[in-house]
Amino acid sequence: MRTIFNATSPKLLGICLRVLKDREEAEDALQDVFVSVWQRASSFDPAKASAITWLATIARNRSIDRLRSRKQQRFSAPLEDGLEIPDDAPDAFTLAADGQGRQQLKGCIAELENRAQSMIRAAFFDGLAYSQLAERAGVPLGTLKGWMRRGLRQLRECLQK
Amino acid sequence: MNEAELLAAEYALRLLEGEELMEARRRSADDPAFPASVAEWEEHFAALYEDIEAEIPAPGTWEAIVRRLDGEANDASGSTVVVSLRRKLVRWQAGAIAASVAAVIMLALQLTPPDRSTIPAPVEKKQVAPLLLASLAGDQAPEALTVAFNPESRELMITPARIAAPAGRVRELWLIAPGAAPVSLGLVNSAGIQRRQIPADLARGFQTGSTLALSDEPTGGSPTGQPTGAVLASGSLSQV
Repeated sequence: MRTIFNATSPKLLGICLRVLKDREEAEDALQDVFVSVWQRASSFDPAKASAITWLATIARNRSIDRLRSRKQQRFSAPLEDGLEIPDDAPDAFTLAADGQGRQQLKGCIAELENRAQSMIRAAFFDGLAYSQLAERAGVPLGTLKGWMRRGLRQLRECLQK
Repeated sequence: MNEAELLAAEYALRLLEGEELMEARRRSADDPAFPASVAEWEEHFAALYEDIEAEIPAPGTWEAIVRRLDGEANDASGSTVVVSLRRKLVRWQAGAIAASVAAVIMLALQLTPPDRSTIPAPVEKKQVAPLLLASLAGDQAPEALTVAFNPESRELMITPARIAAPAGRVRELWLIAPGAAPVSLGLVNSAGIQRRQIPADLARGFQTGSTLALSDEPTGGSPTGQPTGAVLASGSLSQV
């Protein structure tokens, strides 16, 4: 277990920090992640998800749970904050990834119009729900949902090519 | 893309709130295709994790996690035997994940800083009689419950996950030794860890290869002494 911790915790902490934007809270969330991984190890199904995706998804979900349980939600990060330059050095996550599939997703996101790209990134990296995305974009909830759903449909079409 | 796939994408991204979120959760429980679709989207979106920079956790993070796991294993209400059962269970679960991700870890190890920590393992080394464990699963209940049995103390520990019963129905646990008829181990609820002391004659049925099954029964349990309702989940015992 410690081996797994050493090998994966930096990336998982990066994910927690990306969502929570608060070092101390991200460290707490990281602990939740490993306690949760330990408790739910038997539910991991290699046929359904790669181990790394499973771990990363738990990290993102635990962080979003924390984010949403905050009494005062913070919307400090700008919408475009999702665009980060990837590290050149491959890590366990990159290597574990099915390279072609991963590039396909990124390629498909890049094909979307800028607005849809930003929304998907803000949802994914900042853990924003529909209402928060609408608030940030300053548009009615229904309008935003329409945008997002169109973007997701286009993404799906592209992924099926 | 159909509506369910769209909902799965929204659910995976965590966009949903309120009624829409409830709907997705309902579907998640009722429709086996839905969680699969969610997992597929999660796998797609996982490509984006590559864009996140790694951060080194603060010193002492691992120790803090170990303390939390030990805290759970040492739940104040437990007897010594139960504590050792829980510890075994924790260790067994850790083993399961370790095996599952071993290949990935081998890759990862080449790229992460060497292990500088000297923290002791989170579980005690004391030898206990081989524990028997069964993980019960069924079509509608992928991880219904985990059952651990200590042959030395004849103590049974049941950790239910998803076994909620509708009104008027209960869940009954059965032991089926090879070549023998099912024997009731009593009713199981979803309230938390449950412990039973097993009589010596019944304890002999707890062996590698015996099956444990969870059935749907009327309130009060099976009136016949044999399972009368559908078998919701089953699993066989194996040594830890």
